[in-house]
Amino acid sequence: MNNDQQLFSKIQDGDKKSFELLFKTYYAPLCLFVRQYISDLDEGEEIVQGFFLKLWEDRNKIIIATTVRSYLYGAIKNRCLNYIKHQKIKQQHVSEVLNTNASEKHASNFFMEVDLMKKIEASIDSLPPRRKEIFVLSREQGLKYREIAEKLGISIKTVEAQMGQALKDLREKLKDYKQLLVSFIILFNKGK
Amino acid sequence: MGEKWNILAKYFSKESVNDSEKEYIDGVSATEDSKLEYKAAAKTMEKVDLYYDLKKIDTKAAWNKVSRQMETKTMKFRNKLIRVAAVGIILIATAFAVWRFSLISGKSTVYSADSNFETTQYELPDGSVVSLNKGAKLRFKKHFDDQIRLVKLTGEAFFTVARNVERPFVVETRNASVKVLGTSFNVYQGENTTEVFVKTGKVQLIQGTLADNSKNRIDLIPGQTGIFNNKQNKIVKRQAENENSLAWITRDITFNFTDLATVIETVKRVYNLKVDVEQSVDLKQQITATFNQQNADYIMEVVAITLDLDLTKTGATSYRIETN
Repeated sequence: MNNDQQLFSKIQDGDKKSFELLFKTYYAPLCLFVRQYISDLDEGEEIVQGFFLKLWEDRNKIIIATTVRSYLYGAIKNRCLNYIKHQKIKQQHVSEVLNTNASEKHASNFFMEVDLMKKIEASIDSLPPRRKEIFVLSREQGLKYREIAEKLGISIKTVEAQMGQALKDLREKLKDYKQLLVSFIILFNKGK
Repeated sequence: MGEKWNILAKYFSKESVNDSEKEYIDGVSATEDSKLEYKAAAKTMEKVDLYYDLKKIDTKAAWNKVSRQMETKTMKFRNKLIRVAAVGIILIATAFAVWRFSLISGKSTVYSADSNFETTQYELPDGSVVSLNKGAKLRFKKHFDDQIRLVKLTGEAFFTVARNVERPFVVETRNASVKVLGTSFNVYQGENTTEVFVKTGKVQLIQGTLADNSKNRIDLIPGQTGIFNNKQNKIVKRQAENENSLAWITRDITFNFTDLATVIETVKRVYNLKVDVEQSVDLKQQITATFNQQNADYIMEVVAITLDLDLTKTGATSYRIETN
């Protein structure tokens, strides 16, 4: 029995604290997951919130046969498809979503352990100020290299160099986590 | 060998890469030795991007909202679609401000009903039925007081009130109260106004809360609209009806030489849309049309085609209108 399952059985006993923990662990990842189907982030958030409310109301009726996580993602996906169907407008889109599973990203792409979140935050924070500034403009703000160069009055070459160095630094700092990830990838590939 | 990291960062940032850089990327992602290194770098960037995406979502605010609604939902509303007999009162009120919680106090528990996702129908303790529009909130005591049935509303709602002349039914909005004397009517609260349209019977529109005991009050009879303006502290009476007051329930909308500004306001309100209008669009041009049970997309399209405007759907419930 893993943590999530223990958490869920507490929720079934009516423990609101456990429910809050489950919510806070999965809310943001689920919102990102929803974005695959529904572009409007606000609508997406409403769907996830509505789902959690329903989950709380029906907590005693729910039997989870798989893992809690795959239950959550599965249920959310169904909600999204229902929502899109309900909209009636994008019939095309529904069949696209239903048929092209190839382009669909797996739920794990949208989940991150709290530990890793903290580690990434600390790693970015520890970059030299200028490098950090450039990196944040690129990754958080989504600016192109050219835009960053213009904004900061530096050459694109400098941006390139700083970004490269930042990636190298972060790779180094996150190595422990990455090793896990990489070995996982290898296993996964071999499994195929 | 700083260069290779530059190329990788560039590639993962979706910057365009030149031929020799592309060659390098293809090389490292294919060669068994460098593959691991490449994947680790790719994962690093991917996780950083995920970190930023996750950070943008306000989980705390969402939790506050959901936990508030959890408390609300524990209150068991049943009989979703009870039709109280014709002795009903219809009320629609829209309020934008945060709830003022002055009148409802004391020991009795206060209940609230929220409707964040769709129009929801609830039964009140006295048997009255209320439909809450998306985003509406209603607060009231589990047991109404002996003298008065008081509810507080934000958002939009439709009431069918069980008749009880002994205990008037009062709906309080941010700046006004609507006292039901046995009738059906419509309340709409704008930013500084509260508008009441009376369908049948008699309604009293009062400034502030009942406790304020304001002299500024007016009796309205069928066909009349009373408008309270918070800025001018004045109530005026008009003989006109906004035909689309109940459209959010009926989904029947009528425009009769209606200017575009009003059309957009109406559609926004009925379907809970966001509509962005480019400045060059003439809001005074008029439309005459009737829509029965149509969806928002259809109406927006017809309006755009009729006035030769450019319509873009910018989200599930948001649109942008521009000159063609």
